[in-house]
Amino acid sequence: MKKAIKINLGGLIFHIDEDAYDRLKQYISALMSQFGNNAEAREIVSDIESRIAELFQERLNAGKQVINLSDVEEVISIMGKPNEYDTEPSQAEEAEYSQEYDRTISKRRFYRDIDNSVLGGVCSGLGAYFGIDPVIFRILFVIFLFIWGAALPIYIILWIALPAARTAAQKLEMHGEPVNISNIEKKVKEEYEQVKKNFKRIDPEKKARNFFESFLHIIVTILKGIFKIIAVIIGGVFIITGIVFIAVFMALLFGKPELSGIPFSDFNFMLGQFIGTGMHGLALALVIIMCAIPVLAVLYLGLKLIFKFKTIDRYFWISATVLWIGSIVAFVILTVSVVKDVSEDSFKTTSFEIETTTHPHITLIANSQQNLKQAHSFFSNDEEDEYLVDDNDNIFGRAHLIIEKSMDSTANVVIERKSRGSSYNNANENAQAIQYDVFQRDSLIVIDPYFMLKPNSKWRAQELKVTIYIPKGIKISIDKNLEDILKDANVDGTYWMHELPGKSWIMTDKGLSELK
Amino acid sequence: MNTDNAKAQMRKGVLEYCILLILSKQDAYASDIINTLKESHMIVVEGTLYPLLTRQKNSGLLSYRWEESTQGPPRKYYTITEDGKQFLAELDQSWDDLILAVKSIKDRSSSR
Repeated sequence: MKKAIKINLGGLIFHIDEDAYDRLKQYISALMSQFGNNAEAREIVSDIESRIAELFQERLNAGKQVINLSDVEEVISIMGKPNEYDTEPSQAEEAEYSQEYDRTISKRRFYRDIDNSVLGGVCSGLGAYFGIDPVIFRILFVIFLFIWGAALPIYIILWIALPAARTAAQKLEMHGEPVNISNIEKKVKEEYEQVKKNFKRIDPEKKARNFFESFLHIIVTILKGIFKIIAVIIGGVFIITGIVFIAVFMALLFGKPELSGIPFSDFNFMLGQFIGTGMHGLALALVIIMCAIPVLAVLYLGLKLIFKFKTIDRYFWISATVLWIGSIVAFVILTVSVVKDVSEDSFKTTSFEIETTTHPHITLIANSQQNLKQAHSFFSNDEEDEYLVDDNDNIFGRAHLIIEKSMDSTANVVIERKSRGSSYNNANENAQAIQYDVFQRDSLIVIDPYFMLKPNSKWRAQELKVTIYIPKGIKISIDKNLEDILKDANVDGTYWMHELPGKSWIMTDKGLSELK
Repeated sequence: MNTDNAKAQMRKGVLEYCILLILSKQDAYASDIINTLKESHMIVVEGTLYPLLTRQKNSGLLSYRWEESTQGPPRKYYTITEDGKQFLAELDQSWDDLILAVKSIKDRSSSR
C-alpha cells in the first residue's frame, strides 16, 4: 500500500503516487527555474502542465486510477528534459555541457537506508552509496567491533550524522540514479535545497542535523529510557502495595485475623460496638469507600506506569477525590461519639473470704463450665488481652489472675471490674455489667477464666482482675488450666508464670515457695 | 561535438518557421501542431514547442482563443496573425536563401 496524493494539474484532478509526485514536482520546479519568474514563463509552464495533464489522462482508465512513477518518467521523456527546452542560442552551449554532465555524474548522496536496515541503516546506506552489498559493511563492522572496539562509537556517530532516506527523491539519490536536473551545477544544487526544504517540515529528524543538537538528542533519549525503567519499577511497587492493601482489607472485613496482622481482627464487629445498629451499615460503607479509593488509586497508578494506557478523564479523578474526602468527613462525624464513649474509666471491687481453717491447702482451678468453643477472637494485642465473641454476640474477655501475700492471716479473693464510659457514672454502670464469678467448693477455688459482658452491652475496653491473697503458712496449688490467665504472683525466687501451675507452693514471708 | 546535439540545434532554429507554416494552413490546438511536427519527424520532445508558442504569441505572431472541450478544461486554439503572416513570408525567403547557400557550399566542396 502506498500513499497517494491528489493534485490539480492543468485544471484536472489526478491521483498520483507519492514518489511519482516527488518526481513530477522536481521536474516542474526545474522548468520554472529554467524559464524564470516572469509572466511569460508562467504561461509556458502552465501550457506544459496542461499538456502533461492530457498525457496523464491518456494513461488512466477504469483499471488504473493512479498515476505512478513510470507514467511520470514516460511523460517527462515525451516532454523532454529541461535543458532541451532552451531555444535561446546563448544557452545552447550550456545545454550541451549539462547534457554531458548529466550522463557522467550520477548524483549520489550519503543516506541511511532505513528500509533495509538492521540497526540504523548505516551499513545499508554505505552499501547503497558504493554500490556494494551492505552485508560486506556489516561484516566489517562486526570485525572492527571485536578488534578495535571503536567501531561502535563510529557507528553511532554515523547514525547521528547521516540522515535517513525517507522521501522518494532521497532514496533515488542514495542509490545514485541520475536525477534529471541537468542544468548548471549550481542551479541543480539550488533546486535540491528547494525540494529538501519542503520535506524538512515533515521530517523531524532533520531538525537535529546540527551535530551538537543530535548529541543532546541522544542523551535525552537515553535519559528517557532510564526514566521509563524507573517508572516501570515504581509501577510494580505500587501494584504490589495495592494488592497487599486489598488483601488486608478483605481479611479485616471478613474476619480472618490470621491474614491481616492487625489487632482488631473482626473489624465489622468492632465497628458495631461503637456505632448504633441503624448507622452500622452506613459506617461500614463509608469505611469501605475511605479505604478503597486510595488503594484503587495506587493500584491504577501502578498499572498505568507499567502498561501505559490512556489516563481516565480528569473529572473522574476530581470526583473520586471529593468522594473520598466526603467519606472521611462523614465517617468522622458519625464516629465522634466513639471518643466520648471511652473518655472516662472506673472500677468496681467485690471480694469474699476464703475459708482456710479447714482447708489449709487450697487449689486454684479454672471453671470448666465456661464453654467458649464457639467464640472467635475479635481483638487481641497478644494472647493475654484477648476478647472473644460467640454466636450469640456475647462478648468475653480474659481475666487476669494475680496471687499476692495477704497482709493479715485471712485469705481473700478480690475481684476488680474495670470499664470505660462516656461519664464516670456510665463507666461505673459498664463495670457493674461485667459478669464474673469465683466461688469456693471445699478446698477448690473455682475461677472463671473469662468474664462476660451482660448481653447487649457494648465493648468498652472492660478489664477484670482477680487477686487471691494468701496468708503466710497456707499452701496452694494452681491447676494447669489457669496457665493462660495467671498474670503475676508473689513468688520467692525468679520464675516464669507458666512454671507455677502444676506445682504446690506455700506462702512465706518472702512469697510463695515451692513445696518439694 | 555530438551529432544529436547538432541536429537538435538545427531543428530548433527552424521550428519557429514550421509552427508558422502549420498555422498558416489552418488554426490548430497545441497538440495538433505537435502531432504534425512529430509525423514529419521535426520534433522528438513536445516540450520544445510550448516556449516557442508562447513567445511567438507574445511577439504578436500568433494569437489564440479558448475552446471549450467535453473532456476537461478549455484549451488554447491558435491562429496566425497578420504580423505572423508577414513574418512567415520573410522566413520563407530566408529559408530559400539558406537552402541555396548550403547547396552552393556542398557543390563547391564536392567538386574538389
